[in-house]
Amino acid sequence: MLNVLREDVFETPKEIEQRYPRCKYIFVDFTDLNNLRGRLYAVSDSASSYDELCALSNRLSDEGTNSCIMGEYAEGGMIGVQRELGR
Amino acid sequence: MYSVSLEDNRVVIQCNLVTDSRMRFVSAVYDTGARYTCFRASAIDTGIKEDDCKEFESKYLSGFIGDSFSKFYKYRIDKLAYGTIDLGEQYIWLTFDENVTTNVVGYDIIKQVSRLSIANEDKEMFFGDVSELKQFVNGI
Repeated sequence: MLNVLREDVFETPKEIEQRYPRCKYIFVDFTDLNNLRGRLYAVSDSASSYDELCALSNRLSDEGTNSCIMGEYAEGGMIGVQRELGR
Repeated sequence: MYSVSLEDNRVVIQCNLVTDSRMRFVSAVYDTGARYTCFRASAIDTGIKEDDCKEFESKYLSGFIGDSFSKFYKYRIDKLAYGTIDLGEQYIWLTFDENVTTNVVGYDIIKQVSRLSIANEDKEMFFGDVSELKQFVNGI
């Protein structure tokens, strides 16, 4: 499910992820990529709302807001060794 | 210089991608074990449809959903910035598989950026060019 929160407080991604573990979220209004601080705009708690999350983040970007999808769902973004079929 | 802190022994990069004058920030896991840089298409633009990519080179790659393979299409990005480091025009691999929700920066992109890490400092540092890296090292 997607929840649009539009929070006012500036936080780090780590602080947001402590409040919303196992979720992906839209992080907005950051300016310094070396020292990320921004606001939480929306939270998605499952992959079923991932496309909706992407569409919202894309729209914010098109409107001129710095917007990035961060975080990982319950499986923790587990990535195995990348293999190519047929190679 | 662009620096990223390790969180839970993992590095996540904020990539800035520009396609058709649209700019996107997309976070991706920095994975030196991956040959290819892979993104879910909707993270770049929900308007990109799989039918639009049918004529593009494709591969089947695993490592995202257990041992399952997902289809990826080679997609041109007008400009890719790796954090604050502009790499210009790049090709990445896009998937429309709904089960893939993690993006990966692989060695095809990683090898284009000079990088430095210092033991136990929990930080990866990336440099626009080698001279910048040398200057930084000389200042340590």
